[in-house]
Amino acid sequence: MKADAGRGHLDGMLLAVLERSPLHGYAVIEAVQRRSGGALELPTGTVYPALNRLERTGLLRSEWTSVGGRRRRTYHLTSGGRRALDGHRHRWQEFTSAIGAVLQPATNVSTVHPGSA
Amino acid sequence: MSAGTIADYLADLDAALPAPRRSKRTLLVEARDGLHDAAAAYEAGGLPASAAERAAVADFGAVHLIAPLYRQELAVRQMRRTCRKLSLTLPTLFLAWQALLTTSRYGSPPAHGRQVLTIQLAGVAAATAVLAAIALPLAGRLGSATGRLSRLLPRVIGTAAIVGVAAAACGLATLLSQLPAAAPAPTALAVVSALALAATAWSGAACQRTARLASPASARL
Repeated sequence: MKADAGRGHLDGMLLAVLERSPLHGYAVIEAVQRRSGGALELPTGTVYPALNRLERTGLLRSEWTSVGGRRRRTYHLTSGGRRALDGHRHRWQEFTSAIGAVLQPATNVSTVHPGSA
Repeated sequence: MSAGTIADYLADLDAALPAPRRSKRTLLVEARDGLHDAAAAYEAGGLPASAAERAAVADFGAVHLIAPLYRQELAVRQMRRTCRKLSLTLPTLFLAWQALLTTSRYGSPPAHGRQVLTIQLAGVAAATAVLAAIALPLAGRLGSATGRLSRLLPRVIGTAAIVGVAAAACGLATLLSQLPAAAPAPTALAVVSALALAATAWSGAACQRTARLASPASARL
């Protein structure tokens, strides 16, 4: 899958992988790749500026914690972030429903001719 | 970890980020940590150390693709710093001069023409300070990395800072021309004012520079 397809939804995906527990940068990347089955070819370097931007806009908060004996910057979702995540999911649902409905092959083509009983 | 591919990559990334060392340090440390984590994972998977580093760097993305994203973020952060400086410095200086003049015994009221000029210049300076105060929460909330506002606002703020400082400096010069020469208190405050204004102007110039270099046109992946 091309990088373009994933990039537009990067914010939503980053918020989603942080829904359950705080994670540091590399763990966030790993979670996205694992959950997408490795289908998204995103350069990992795009994630860090995005995480920083999400923190600046109040959707995430970060602190330095100890991970496996090393200090790592760890992010967690704020209440604003949870609301934004809901918004992303809702919009995605609407989007995929609308496009999916159009892409579906036409079913139950009517064979009743006008005028027949 | 050995010096090598990751260190080279970080040096290149550092060179591609035109921002004060202090402001980009956190971002670069985080990138370094991420690269080392990725290399460690590759090593745990069986790759030799140098190949693991190369793989981690390759996954990260080429500097010319990744740096613009960092530059955009740095530009917004610089803009917030400039907003803070501008919205605090000018009113503080104004109040300090007001306090000095009302509690001092410095001579007769200034000539009318100069007084009007001082007031007009103070007004320009005040307008830029108000702009900065309004822009500060807005600047913090800029969500889109490539939106028009994200590109425009840092330049506006940078310009406002320089205009505000220039107006304040001219107003100050006009005021000083009406006071007795070499009076100690005004001279001291004038020196402090000059330093504060210079710092604000410098911040405004940095804001414009980082905004100019954070061109979203190059942020295509």
